[in-house]
Amino acid sequence: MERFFAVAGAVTAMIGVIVVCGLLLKILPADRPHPDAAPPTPLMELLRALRGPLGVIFVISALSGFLQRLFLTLSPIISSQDGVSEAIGALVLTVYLAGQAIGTLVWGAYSRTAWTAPTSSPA
Amino acid sequence: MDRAYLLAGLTALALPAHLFAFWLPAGSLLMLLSAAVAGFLNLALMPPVIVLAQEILPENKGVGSGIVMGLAWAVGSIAVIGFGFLGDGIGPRPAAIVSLPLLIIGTVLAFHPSLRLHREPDHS
Repeated sequence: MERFFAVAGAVTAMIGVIVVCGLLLKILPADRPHPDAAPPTPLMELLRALRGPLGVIFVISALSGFLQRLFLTLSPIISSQDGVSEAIGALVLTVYLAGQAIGTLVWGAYSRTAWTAPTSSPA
Repeated sequence: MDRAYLLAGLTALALPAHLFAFWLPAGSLLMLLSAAVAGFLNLALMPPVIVLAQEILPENKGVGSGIVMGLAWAVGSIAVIGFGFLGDGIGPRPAAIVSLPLLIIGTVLAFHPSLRLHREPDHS
């Protein structure tokens, strides 16, 4: 019974969010594309791009996402089985996510400086 | 920097980092350190992946980013379901460790011939 009310509570929250989103669609101004903007690429052409280098990058990114979700899913269970407190289990997740945030920032900054500035090569 | 080596290095180093993060006793200092390093290496892949996707689809940078961030992560998340079932069968720690060799696919793919033209930054 408790589980039912917990799930029903989530559904109630979802309905509220859907209603708010509908209202926002009515209230917010329409998104008018820039007059010089290129027309959107057809879906089939985008899917064909997955057969090339984009597909390779797609798989690498999917592996990264899989690993992150795997850690977030199994780490709390492993922590519980190891007998540590919930606080320690939460700490493990926090440390992992903090590492991710730092990794994104560090490599994002490195990407910006190393990959956007022109390289100078010796003649 | 040659992006192939960057992607290969990040995926290759993420494997032992995640191995220690899963294998060491939960909450121990070494385990926490491993978790931090694992998280760092895992999401360090994102900036170069997004830059690459935008260079591959220069006319549709938003869609390219969406594909490698949204669609790819959704696919990766769905795969976790299978390892959840495996975890119920053999335990979560063995299931997690068994999954880690999949990262080698990323290391190998980093040197895929189709990425040859994109290994160096595009300064156009």
